[in-house]
Amino acid sequence: TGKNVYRLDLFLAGKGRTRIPVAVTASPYLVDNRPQGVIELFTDISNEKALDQAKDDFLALVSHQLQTPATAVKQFLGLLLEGYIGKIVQEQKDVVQKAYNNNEEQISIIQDLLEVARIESGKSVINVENIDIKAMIDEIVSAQQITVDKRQQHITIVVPAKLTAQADPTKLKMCIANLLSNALKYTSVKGTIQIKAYETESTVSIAIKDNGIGIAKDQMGKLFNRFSRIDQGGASAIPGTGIGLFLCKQIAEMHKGSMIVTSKPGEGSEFTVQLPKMHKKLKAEKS
Amino acid sequence: MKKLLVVEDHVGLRESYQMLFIREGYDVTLAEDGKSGLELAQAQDFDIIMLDMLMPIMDGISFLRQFVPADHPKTKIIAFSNLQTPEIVSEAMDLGVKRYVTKAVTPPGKMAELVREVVNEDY
Repeated sequence: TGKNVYRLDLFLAGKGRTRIPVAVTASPYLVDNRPQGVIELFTDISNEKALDQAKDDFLALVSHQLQTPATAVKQFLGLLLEGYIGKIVQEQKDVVQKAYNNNEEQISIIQDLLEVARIESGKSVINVENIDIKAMIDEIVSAQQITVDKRQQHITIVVPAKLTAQADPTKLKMCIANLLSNALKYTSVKGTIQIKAYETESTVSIAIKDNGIGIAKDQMGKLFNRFSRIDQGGASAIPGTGIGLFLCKQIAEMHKGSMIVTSKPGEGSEFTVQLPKMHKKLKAEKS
Repeated sequence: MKKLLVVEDHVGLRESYQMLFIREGYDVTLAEDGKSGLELAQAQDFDIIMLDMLMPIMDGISFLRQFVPADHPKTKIIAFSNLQTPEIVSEAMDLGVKRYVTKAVTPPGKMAELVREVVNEDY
């Protein structure tokens, strides 16, 4: 046969009303390099699908079970930091603050994992509201200010004061927070990050541009894959779960929008979330 | 002293909210599931009930469906949960909760402020 093999996953009708998941692979049948037909192979992938489902259920269960004690840790540390348990000296407060910040990071990873599990199971729905983009970006930057200060990085924000977008606030915030966190991680100490938001007649865009390590062309293809990390220079040494960009792309697409990336190795990257301005269809679906 | 009931199944969270609200000057009662919480809420008049949503034996939504607000006109309920499904949030609000708060992102001082706000609101 020819070398090209194509795979398509679909369902076949089984006995009664059952549906059997199958993978169909097709390869051209060539004689003297001339196509004579196609060889198709149908493989029952019920076990593969069941394992996939078990993995997603496990991910959701573990993330949920981790979130509750992590929240309790946050509350106890908060009680100490906010002076409910009595006065603590500055040195002690600094240590508690570090524990609190790490716990916040842990909770944010757990929330990302829970969102991945919801997306994978088809249970993630969007709840569209009018969002004040400037206020949302200020809130996200303020939550990551400690990292910015520690790395002596500089953030410029260029957002029109009255710009609004129609989106799910929790999900859009999750996406932008992930993009900013990536920009901070992959940009060197004293680097510069620009957050820009703008609108056209039909879209609202939020772009995060850095002057960090950039992304090589051969790494671009896997950028938005789940649990995928770029493997270039020292990038793999930078901690991360590899779900941030996957989440952003899924969130943008749930809003019928898109993610756009431009990058040059050694010069930096720009990630843009582009959302359609009017969610007439989404609104109709909601009602 | 305002009477406050915390209905929360996780022992760590229950303890942390007990520490917070005692220091904020409330008379705090604890329940570890929806069923025991509902029994307490029906037997006494609380000013505030802090109600978790995901709990064993009886969850928050079942609690709200069985609690009769007319029998306890001064009781105000705040739902606090990490479960943010839009359907659950909207059902809880329809069943009369005053606020729906995400525990994982609300530090103690902010939680206390929200409770004060709700206590001071008129019906």
